Amino acid sequence: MSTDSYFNNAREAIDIAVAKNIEDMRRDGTLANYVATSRDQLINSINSAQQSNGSKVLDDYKRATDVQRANYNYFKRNSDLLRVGDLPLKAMQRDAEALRHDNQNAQRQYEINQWTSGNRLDTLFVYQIIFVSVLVLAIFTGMWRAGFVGTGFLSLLVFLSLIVIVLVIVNRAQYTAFTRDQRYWNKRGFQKFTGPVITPPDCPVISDTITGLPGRATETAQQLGDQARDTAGNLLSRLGSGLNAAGNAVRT
Amino acid sequence: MSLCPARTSAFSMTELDALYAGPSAVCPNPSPPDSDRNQDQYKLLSNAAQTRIVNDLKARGIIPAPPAMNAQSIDEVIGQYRDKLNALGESMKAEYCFYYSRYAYAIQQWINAIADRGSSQTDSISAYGSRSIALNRRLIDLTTIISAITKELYDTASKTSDSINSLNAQLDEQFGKLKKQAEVLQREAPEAEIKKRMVEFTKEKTKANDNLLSLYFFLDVVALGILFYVYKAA
Repeated sequence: MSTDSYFNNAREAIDIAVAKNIEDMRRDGTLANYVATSRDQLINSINSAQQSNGSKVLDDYKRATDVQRANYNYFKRNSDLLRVGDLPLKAMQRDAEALRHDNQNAQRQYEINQWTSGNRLDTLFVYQIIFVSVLVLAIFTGMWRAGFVGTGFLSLLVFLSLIVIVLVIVNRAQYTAFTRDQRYWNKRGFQKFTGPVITPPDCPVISDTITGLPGRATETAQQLGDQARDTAGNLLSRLGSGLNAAGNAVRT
Repeated sequence: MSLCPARTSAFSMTELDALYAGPSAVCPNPSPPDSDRNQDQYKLLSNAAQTRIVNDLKARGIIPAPPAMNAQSIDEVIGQYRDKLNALGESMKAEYCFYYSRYAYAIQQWINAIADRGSSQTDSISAYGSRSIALNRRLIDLTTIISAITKELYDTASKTSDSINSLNAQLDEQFGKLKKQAEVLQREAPEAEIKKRMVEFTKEKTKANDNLLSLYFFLDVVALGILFYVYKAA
């Protein structure tokens, strides 16, 4: 038996059962009550389904409007954050710039102070040389007065002292003015060397040379080949003439 | 809680046939023909018909146009847009309840007529039956259109996400700059302190050297004086 006939049989059986049930209820007097109950249930279920459907779509719409509002509020908050964040950023940039500037200033001031201090020490050295020389001269002048040393010796001493003092002053002045680095006391300044000018190679010639190498190789090979061919030809012709000469000689 | 308030009084046939006359009615009048519907047993509105109806509602201003994402005009404009969306929601709810109350009455009368079937009920069955079917179709069309409007709102929201994402990128960039400046300050502040101390040290050193210079200058003068005195002493 096919599936359709099974269904048809089943449906028929159900119809018969329902009809019997209805007939029984009519006999019992409960049919009206049953119909009323079933009708109310049907109406309620239909209305409930419609209400649920309507509630759902309207709730979905409300959520969509909430999403829209949330998006705009999110945009507004981000815009406000961006605007508010600009102020501390500018302040920090200014502070960082000022700090960097102060650091550079302090570094330069330190270098200047170091140079000045070194210069003072150099001057102090000259003063000390003068002091020691004058003291020695004073002692020997006293001895000259007392007759312990001669005038010539004293004059020589004075002359040498003066020479030493002048040389020290001139050397120090010249070194500080011309040789010493003007920024760092402990460094020496070197002149900028002007060495010989190196002419850069002519790049197009070189590039032609490089790119022309295969062509040149071919040309050279051809030339060599031509030379070999000429040489061989000459050799053969000479050989031939030699043999002819030999043959003629034999014939005669 | 039910969506629509219950109505106790009856509807006349004219009232059952009435169309919603609100200013922001979304359901098209008359109902879209079969050509605008899917060719299946459910006969829902096709996607093309939904799009056309939504575009028509946008053109008429019933669906409010979303304002531009502009920081200058955001507060007031958002408030107005939100109010328009809320008003549209209320209008659609009113329209739904308008048709639902009529449908509930018609379906009840139809089922009652079927249940109390006699020869006198045939006209009632036919009248209420056709109206129930028409009102049901109306309700389904209305919910379909409301769903299409909701989808349109979500699509609009997703388009605005580009503006929001660009702001997020700007915020990230700003945060990066702040962090970098904080690192610079953190790194250079101790260095500044050290350099300040170094400058003070060199100032002290120079002052000490100045004192020594003054001392030796004085000593030089004294020594020259001694030399001159010794030379001149008889």
